[in-house]
Amino acid sequence: MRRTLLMLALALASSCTYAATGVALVHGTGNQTDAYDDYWQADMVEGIRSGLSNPNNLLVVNCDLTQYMWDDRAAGCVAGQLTSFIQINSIDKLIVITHSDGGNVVRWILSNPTYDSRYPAIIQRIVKVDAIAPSSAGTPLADAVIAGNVFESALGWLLGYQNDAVRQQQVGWMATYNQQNLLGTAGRPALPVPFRDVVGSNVYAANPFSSQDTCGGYADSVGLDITQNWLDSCSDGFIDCTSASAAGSVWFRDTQRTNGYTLNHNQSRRNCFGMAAILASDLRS
Amino acid sequence: MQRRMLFLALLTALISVPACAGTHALLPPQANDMVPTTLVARDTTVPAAAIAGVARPQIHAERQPVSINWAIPHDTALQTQPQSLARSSREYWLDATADELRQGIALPLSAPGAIIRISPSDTVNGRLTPEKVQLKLGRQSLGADQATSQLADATSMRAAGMSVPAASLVMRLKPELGSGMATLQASNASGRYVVHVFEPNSPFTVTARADRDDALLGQHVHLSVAMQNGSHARPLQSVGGFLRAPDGSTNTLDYHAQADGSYTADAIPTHASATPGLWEFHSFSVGDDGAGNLVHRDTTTVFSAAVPDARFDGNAETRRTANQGIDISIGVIAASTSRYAVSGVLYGRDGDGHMVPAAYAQSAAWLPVGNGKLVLHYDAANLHGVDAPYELHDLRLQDQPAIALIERRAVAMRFDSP
Repeated sequence: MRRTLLMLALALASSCTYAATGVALVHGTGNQTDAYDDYWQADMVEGIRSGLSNPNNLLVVNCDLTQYMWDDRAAGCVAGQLTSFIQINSIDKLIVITHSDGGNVVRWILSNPTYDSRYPAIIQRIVKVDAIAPSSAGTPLADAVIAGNVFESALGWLLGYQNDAVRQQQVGWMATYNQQNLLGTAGRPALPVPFRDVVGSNVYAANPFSSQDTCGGYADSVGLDITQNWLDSCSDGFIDCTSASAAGSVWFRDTQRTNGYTLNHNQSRRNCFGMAAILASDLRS
Repeated sequence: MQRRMLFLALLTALISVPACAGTHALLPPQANDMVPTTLVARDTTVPAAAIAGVARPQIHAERQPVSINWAIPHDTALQTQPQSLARSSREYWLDATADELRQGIALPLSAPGAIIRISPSDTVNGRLTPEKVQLKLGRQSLGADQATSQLADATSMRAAGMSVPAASLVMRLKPELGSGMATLQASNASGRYVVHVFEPNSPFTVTARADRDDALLGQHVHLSVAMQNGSHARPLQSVGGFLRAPDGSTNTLDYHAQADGSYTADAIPTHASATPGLWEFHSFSVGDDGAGNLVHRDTTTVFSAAVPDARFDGNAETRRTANQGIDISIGVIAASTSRYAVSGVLYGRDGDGHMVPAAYAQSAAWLPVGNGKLVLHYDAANLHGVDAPYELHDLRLQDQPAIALIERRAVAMRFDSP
């Protein structure tokens, strides 16, 4: 009888200490209401889900990331959704996958844990952030559209309102925020958890019949081919490699894990060249 | 009896730990530290109205005190002073009426392969199609289709993450067209247009740099604007521009020519912005390529300007906690009731005798006007491998709802025993 009780106690104890691993996907700039379909697409999300022992432990965040990272509609919304997800699913190991400006929003949470009393409990459960193409040092494209917008405003007419997430991703703004409000870049204290960058290094759009050019949408690649003119020779069409690798540490540069294929800024959030399998495999490690 | 005495001795020692708490004066500020001298209460009312194009932010209102710390690698090379960023520009903007665009506007191009974006104010009637756009350069007069190697509309650019205005037309000129004074013409122009010219292949850049990237209201910020041809300086002919506050309000700047051909401007932000964000210098410059051809460049430089509504009072107390961690209680004087955060990196001596960074701590609480304290706590586990003496580096004070850095000290304290 005593032996049975002991076994029961051990079983209960082991079930209580079993690590429930979860993954949360945080999108980039945009006010998303269906990031599953509109931002990541099913192939990517379901591919990542396959890496979980409990497939229910996956969250696709939907927030208004047209705002400054610190805005309640951005980091506040992300913190709210992560907190609910952790509580409802009893998550004790959380892997956060971000894309583009989503990396800045999560880095705000990691860098400013006292800004919101929900942050420490989230940080405590995050084991790593896989930051796909994070705009950690901003992008000259944001400068190009915001400078024009300011010029237009100065003329007294406005061509198109530019959202604060774009404003925030100007190179000078991110340089200032990195020095004053964010951690994890060169010369600044380290983040409390690993922040691992996935770096896209080129854009190809010359051949509409090539998977390299068409995966993720050929039309999107065409635009990236032009935007790349604002960027360094190593870029994903939206951000320079130096920006994608400015915070945390580089996990991998695209071609190191994708059989030589490069990932443009749209391809890196889609299931192109094995991205979903790479991320799924990382959940198990 | 002996055991009882030992117990009493231990108890006395434990009880006496707080009594051993050290009182310290913060080290004098270093040359590049940012330290408020006069405090000003911040207007904490929510801005009632936004300037066109500037959204009203939703600031998180947190009332619970929060404290956290973690170990950082001992080999981290921490920057002692923030560095301002110099931004180089190869682009410029101009505006044109429909009449001007129908007749043709002059676009100085300093290198082949320029990218030209045309954005109409009237996104319906003003939309331009490539076949209606004509480019003259030298003896060549070509339609946009023939003159360009790449063409994209707003949809393509936005899909690529570049959120250009609706109905924009973007074209990259064929490199073989060369450079010089181009004329851009659109026969069906309507309304007004902004034309953005970017010259990725040009050797001519204009760089703008502020002398600091953080400031307090009332402090002076100095801007330098200089032109380069590759690595060689070139004189500028003229520079104009304005200072833009985060709430969108602007002030025209006076630029002064310098003997080396550069220009400078000075600004003292004196009014608190109604919304958080950064201040921007926008400079519009004209130079030439040395052969009489004009070179236009627009630049943007940013810095923060915080309301100095709190400061460290200069005193701190250190204490070894019961779990062998270290508490550093920092005195703060607040002129506004707000949520303030203090952060700092604790250095200690490692086994080789070097001072190395050991742990980062951050603590925030709501403080009323007057004198208060914020406590940085460092867990013993996060101080593994280092011992006394200790130094507190990169001590910062932030007004969290203002997203504002209001005090920063590179090295704030040295102490042997907590």
